[in-house]
Amino acid sequence: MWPFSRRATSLGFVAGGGDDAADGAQLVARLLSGEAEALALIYRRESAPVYRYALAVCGQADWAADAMQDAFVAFATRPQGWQAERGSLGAYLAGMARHALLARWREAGRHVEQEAAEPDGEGVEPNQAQSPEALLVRRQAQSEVWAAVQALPWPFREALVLVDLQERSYAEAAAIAGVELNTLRTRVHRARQRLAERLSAGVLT
Amino acid sequence: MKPRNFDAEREPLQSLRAALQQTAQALNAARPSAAQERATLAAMRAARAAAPGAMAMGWRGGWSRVLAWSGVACSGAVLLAAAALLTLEPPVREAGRPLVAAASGFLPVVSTERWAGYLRDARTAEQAAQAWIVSAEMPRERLALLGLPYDPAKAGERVRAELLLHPSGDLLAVRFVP
Repeated sequence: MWPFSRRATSLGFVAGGGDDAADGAQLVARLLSGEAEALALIYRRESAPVYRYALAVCGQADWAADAMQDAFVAFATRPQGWQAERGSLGAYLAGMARHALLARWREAGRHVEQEAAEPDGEGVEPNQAQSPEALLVRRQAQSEVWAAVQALPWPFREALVLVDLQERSYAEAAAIAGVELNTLRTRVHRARQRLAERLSAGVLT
Repeated sequence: MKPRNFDAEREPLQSLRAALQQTAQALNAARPSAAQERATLAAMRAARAAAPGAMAMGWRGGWSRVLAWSGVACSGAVLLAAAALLTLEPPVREAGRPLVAAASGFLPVVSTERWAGYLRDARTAEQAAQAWIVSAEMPRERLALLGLPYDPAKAGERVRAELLLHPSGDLLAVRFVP
């Protein structure tokens, strides 16, 4: 069993359901009723985790900011697109940021693997090696770990970011990634395996 | 059968756990810049104001401040839709001009980063981006969508503007014609 503690709120994300969903529903209801301030409240409540998710999966601060903006602008255009019974507002917004990032990669001519291929061949996938330099990588105290995370194939990287870096529940992470729960679990497990192999091989100091 | 060395297997996982926890803590300190946050909020407000059924009164209250260079960013799709509704006469489209040259005097309506990226790409790409300038007229009250101040007493008056369009169709910037 993975020896992580599940500190749900320590990294800025609150697990979906319960009070979180109710708070989100209240804010959206206020927004739909025309309360101008509700928009800013929603932004301040949800923006940081969405930004961090985008930053962690793409490794670029400007792309992350653009993806965050795209997600929040799309939400502001149609707030009724979020339905509380489907998940938290934060997960909904992260999913929209995800779409924005994938679209941008496609526009940039980069192929993003939607399914995680098994590692018959080692090494970094070409699209990962061609990823732009991440400003955040240079600032991270654990830059080697960060680089290793960025080197993971997209499906593994996203799963690891959602579960291990942002400590979301598996259910919420699966919803954001758009995959079945078991698929998400498998991806997390394989991501950890790959990182652990690199660590034990001395790639990470 | 050789017994498994559980300690040896556990050690890299423990090391990885510690490393990921530190990385997670560092990630938790990351935030968008203040300019990005202002731009995103402004873009959200503009999108909300343009959304069907939005209560217009509630969204005009906060527009009475000067547009900062990076203070307003609006989704291109929202503004294109707004532009399509603004003018009663067919838009006049000038022939394409190099983006960098065409951009002078325009106020960007995309984020600072995107604006810089478009200009950078236009300078380096062989098929240099040929920007389009579209002339349009709009009621003064529409200035609110762009985060610009306007006199409510003259809300119905029309102003002439030029819209700078990227070859991809994105609305990049606006310039008002006296």
